[in-house]
Amino acid sequence: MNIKQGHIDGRQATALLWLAASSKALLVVPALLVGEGFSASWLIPLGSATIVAAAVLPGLALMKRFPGRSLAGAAEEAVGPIAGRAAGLVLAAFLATDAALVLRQFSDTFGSVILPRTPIPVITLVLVLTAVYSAYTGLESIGRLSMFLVPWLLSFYALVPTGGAPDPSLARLLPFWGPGPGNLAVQALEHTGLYSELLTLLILIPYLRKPAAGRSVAFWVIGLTAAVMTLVQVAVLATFDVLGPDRLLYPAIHLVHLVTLGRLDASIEPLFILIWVLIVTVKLSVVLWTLSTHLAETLRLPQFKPLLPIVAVIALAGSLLPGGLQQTNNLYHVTVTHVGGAAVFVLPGLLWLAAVLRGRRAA
Amino acid sequence: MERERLPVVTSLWKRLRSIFTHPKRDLDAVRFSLGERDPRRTSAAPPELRKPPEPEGAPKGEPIPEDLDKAVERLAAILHYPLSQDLVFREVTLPTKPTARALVIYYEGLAESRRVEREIIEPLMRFPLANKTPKARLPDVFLESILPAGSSRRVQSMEQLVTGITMGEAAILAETGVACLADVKEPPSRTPEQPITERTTRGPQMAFVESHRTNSAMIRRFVHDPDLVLEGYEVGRRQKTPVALLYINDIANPKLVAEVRQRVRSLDVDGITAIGILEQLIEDHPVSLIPTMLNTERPDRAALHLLQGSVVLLSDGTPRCLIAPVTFSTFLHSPEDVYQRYPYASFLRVVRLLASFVALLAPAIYIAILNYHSEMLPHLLLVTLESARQTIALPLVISVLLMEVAFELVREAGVRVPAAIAPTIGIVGALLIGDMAVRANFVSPATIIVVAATGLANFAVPDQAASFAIRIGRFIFIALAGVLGFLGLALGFYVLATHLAGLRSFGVPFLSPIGPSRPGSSDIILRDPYWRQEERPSFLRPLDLFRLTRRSRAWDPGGQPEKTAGDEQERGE
Repeated sequence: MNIKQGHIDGRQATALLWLAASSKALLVVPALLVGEGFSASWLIPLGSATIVAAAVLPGLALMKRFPGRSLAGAAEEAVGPIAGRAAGLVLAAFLATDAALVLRQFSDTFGSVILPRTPIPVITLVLVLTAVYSAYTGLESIGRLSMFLVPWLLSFYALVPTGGAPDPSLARLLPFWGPGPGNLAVQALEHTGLYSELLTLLILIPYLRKPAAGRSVAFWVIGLTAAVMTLVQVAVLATFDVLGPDRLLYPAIHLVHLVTLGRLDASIEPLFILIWVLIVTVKLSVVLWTLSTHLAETLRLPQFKPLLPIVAVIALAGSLLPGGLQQTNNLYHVTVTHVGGAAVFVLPGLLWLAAVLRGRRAA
Repeated sequence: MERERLPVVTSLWKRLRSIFTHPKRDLDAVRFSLGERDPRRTSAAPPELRKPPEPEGAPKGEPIPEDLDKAVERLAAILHYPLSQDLVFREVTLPTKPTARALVIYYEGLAESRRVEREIIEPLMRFPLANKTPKARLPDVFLESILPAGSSRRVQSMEQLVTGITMGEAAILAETGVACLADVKEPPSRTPEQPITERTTRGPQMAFVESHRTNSAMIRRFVHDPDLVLEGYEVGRRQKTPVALLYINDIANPKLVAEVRQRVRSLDVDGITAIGILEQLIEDHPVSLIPTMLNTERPDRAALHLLQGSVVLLSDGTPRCLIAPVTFSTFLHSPEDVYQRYPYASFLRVVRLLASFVALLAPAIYIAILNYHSEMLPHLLLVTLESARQTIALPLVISVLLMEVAFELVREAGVRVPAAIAPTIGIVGALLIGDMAVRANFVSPATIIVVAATGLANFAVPDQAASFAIRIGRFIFIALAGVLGFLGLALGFYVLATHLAGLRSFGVPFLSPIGPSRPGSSDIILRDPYWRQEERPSFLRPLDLFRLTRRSRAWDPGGQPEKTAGDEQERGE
């Protein structure tokens, strides 16, 4: 029997998940974090990373307990077919929500900031089509492409904070504790959904060449994502202060807007658009691939590719549901960054606990 | 009502499920991979075709009748004689006691008549066959003593006989039950000339010709290795084109050789008239814009690839060969790179890479910047460009497309017209289309500059197939940039990159050794000095990884690598 899917190695998985996770820093997350953590908002990704580093362990233990099984398969083994499928569908619903909201955020931002005369549905549609094609080509292609993009992303994150701000000041990061250490700890707990790509990792562990590398991939992704989010948050605060992000929905993009090529007096924003689009498309491709693969595994379908158009239509339709950009951002805040943590970490943790208590493990 | 609905729902569910489970819709199936960890393959061809063909044993098909008259009658029926007037049946009386009859059968023009006369008929008439020669020995006597040595063989089935005759051999049938084929064909051929599309200033000035045997000999002239194997196949039910598969037995990966062999042997077509058709029949991604096999006219290039662990395919009638597997960087390499010193070769490769990007993206970037992202340009440049565009009647995208199409027309016309007037086409194109289009305010001078630079860059791409892919891709990018600016460019680039990342050439990922990255590759875009290229490309998974020793410059005391214990021991011995 043929093996149905391509496999990727640990480095490709790390690159892929890091790109997907760091796309959040380019969308609404910096503004949301400033709204909650004020001058100390840059500490929230670090705090969340610490919590997530522990919270991801039960999920990894679940996958280790059922080697070779998909997350859907492991869930069924742990709690039985009905509850297992229900859990699988909950996770699929979370992924679909994530895809829909990212799609909407990106299309709205791009439509309003970069291409004001292009209808937003056109942007949404071409983005979805591109992501569907990419997901259709398989995990191997996305993984290899991600490896290519890593140097560009690194230069992007290195250039934006250093070259963008006309008058940056680290004094804007004070008071250091912002709303206070206690509040910050709560915020960090609430924002564990920032690392929701770890759910993707749990789904793609069976597709790693060495599934045992899942743990190191998880820690690399957490560390790198935390670094990027912290860096962007510091740059945003140092440039725009606490009040700026309230007015700028997507501060990272406005930060890019400030970068000019010295005496040429030319903005290089469009060059960053390339990288920005590529990163967001990787994110969408990964989510669509994960969603269709996970759904196929949950519904015990032998192939995931016929599901791709279906999940793309679901994401597209979902992206049209919010009434406006503000509502989209609020929904994103609630579902992905807040509830997302529960879906990504608590549910797999409960499944692992159930497997342990019921003494279930792979035969 | 519920009972009626249930079967409908079940039927619908079954239909929906069939989308996922239908064996012909195995969309997730992965193609052949050379990787050791990847045992997956989805070939529909029989696995026995992966093995080399066994030496001819028992004849297959209809046996040749012992009786000469019956054999001739049967042969005439198969070859439509006397309807086919170029078929020659020449009867000879053998000088035996008593005399015996023999027939020489061949196609006039396909087999050379003078050779038939000189090498077959005359020896047959003069050679005294002893009466006491056993009947069973007669074929051997024919082959050993009468017919030209080396190019004659005994045949046992009508199929072999007919195939031989249609391919230009002469058949010899005798009353004694002898059936032989003698190779007396002499198809029109020419002497090797200079390469036309892959010219170099350094290196050999010799290109393949139409005869695949001459071509294989030219390759052997570069690779004097007894391990260079040539497997011969006939492709096509009717045409039976000779195809040769060449590889170096102790370098090329056996899985790769088996895969190529299987693909060639499993072809079920009427025939192939050129190697380009063979390429389309066996390549991994026949609908992709991107070529996944290298087509070259240079035997030295084929030899170099053989030494790296690739396989080469030759087809009779085509002065080119196919090389597989290839990667993205192969199409940026020129045959000359090997003969240049490494800094020059690396520099030229960087130029070619830039040229590829310019040829693919320059007009699209020009449109995207001027139409959507003019803030990218310095103020003065923007004013200059915009003021030049003020009087242009056509939208920028249309004017660029117009000029690109005009350029393609000039180029195509230049290829088709007789060589004597080809320069005229260039002058007409440059003067009339370029200058007049600017004067008529159809396009701005900047557009002409961009289109001309793009065309020039396209000529710098060393491979013709890659150049075609870039030319077509350019139009797609122009359309994307015209509609969506940099967003379109970025999405187009993403699709292209994903597509490239998903391509395989005979089991090797197309973006190797960058994606997936493999160590030890010193000849991708930049090239290491030859003496430092110790390893063959690891993505080809050759049986013998090392092509140089670490002491390839042993005379150079400064260039010696650190001595190892093994080196010392070797020296001591």
